[in-house]
Amino acid sequence: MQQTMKILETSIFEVFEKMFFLYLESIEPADTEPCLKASISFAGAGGGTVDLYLSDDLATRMAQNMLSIEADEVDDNQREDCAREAVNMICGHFLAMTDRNGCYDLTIPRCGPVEGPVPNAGERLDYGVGDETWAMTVLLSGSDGGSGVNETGPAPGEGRAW
Amino acid sequence: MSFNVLIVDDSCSMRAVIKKVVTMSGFEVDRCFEASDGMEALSVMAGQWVDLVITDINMPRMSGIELLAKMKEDDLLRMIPVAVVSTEGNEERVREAFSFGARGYLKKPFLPEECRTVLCEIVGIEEDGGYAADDEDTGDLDF
Repeated sequence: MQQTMKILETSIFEVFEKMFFLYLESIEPADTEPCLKASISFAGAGGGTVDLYLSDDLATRMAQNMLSIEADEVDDNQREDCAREAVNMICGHFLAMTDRNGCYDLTIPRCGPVEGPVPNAGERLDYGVGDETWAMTVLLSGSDGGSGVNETGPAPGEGRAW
Repeated sequence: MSFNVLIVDDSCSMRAVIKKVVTMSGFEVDRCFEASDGMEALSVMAGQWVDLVITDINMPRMSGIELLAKMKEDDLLRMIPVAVVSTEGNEERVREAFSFGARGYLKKPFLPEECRTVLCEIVGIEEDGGYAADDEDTGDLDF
C-alpha cells in the first residue's frame, strides 16, 4: 500500500506541475475546510475511487493557471471543470503507472460543492501550496478495502525516483 | 496551408488548453471547432471540412474510441488524421486507439511541447513551423 500511495503522489505532483503550474508540498491535514469535491471511480483488474477535496483558494488558482485568466474572471463552472479534469488525470496517470498492463474503465468524473471536513475514509494524502488556505486532500478507496489496483509497479523510465 | 481543427473533449478547460497549444504550435489554423463528445464531433464534421481531429477517449454519450470507429466506417472521414489525447495510458487502450485509425497518442498530463510534437508529426509539419516535405525538396536541390 505504501508503494501505491507513493505512485499516487507522483501522479498528483505531475498533474499539478504540468497542467496547473503548481508545486505541491506534503502537509499535515489542514484546518481549512474544502469547498469542492471531485471524484472518479475505476474498474477493471481492481476497482476503487479517487476523491479530491479542494479549498476555495486552491480551486480558483487551478482554474486561473490552467486557463491563463485572472482570479476575478474564474467562475464556478470553470473551477468545477478544472477539478474534474484534475481528478481524471490523477487517476488515469496513477493507474497507468501502477499497473501498466491492466485495463481499467474510468467513470466520467463528477464534481460539486462540499461542506464540512474531509471524511475519514480510505488512504489519505494532504497537500498545500505555501499559504495554508491553499489545501487539498486526496482519498484513495479500493472496493476491496485496499488500494483497488494490482501493484505491478511503474514501467521502466516512468515515475519519479524516490 | 491552413488547417481546420476539431477539438473533442468533455472538459471545456482542456479544450481551451489544447486550442492554445495548437495555435502556438506553428500551425496556420483557419478555423478551430469544438465538440464535447463523439456525437457532437460527427455533427460538426457533417457540416464542416476538418483537416485534423484531436480527441479525448473518456467522454459521455460517445467515447473517442467510438468516434474513431464511426470515422473509420466513412470513406471521407477515415482520411482525416486523428490524435488521441487521453488520461488512459495503458498499452491495450493505446493499441485499441491505433487499431481504429488514430495516428498519434498523447497521454495527459502533457507539456505543451509534447502536444506540439505529436500534432506536428501527424500533419507533417516540422516543429519550427516548416513543412517536412519542403525540407526534403530543399535537400534535393543541394545535390
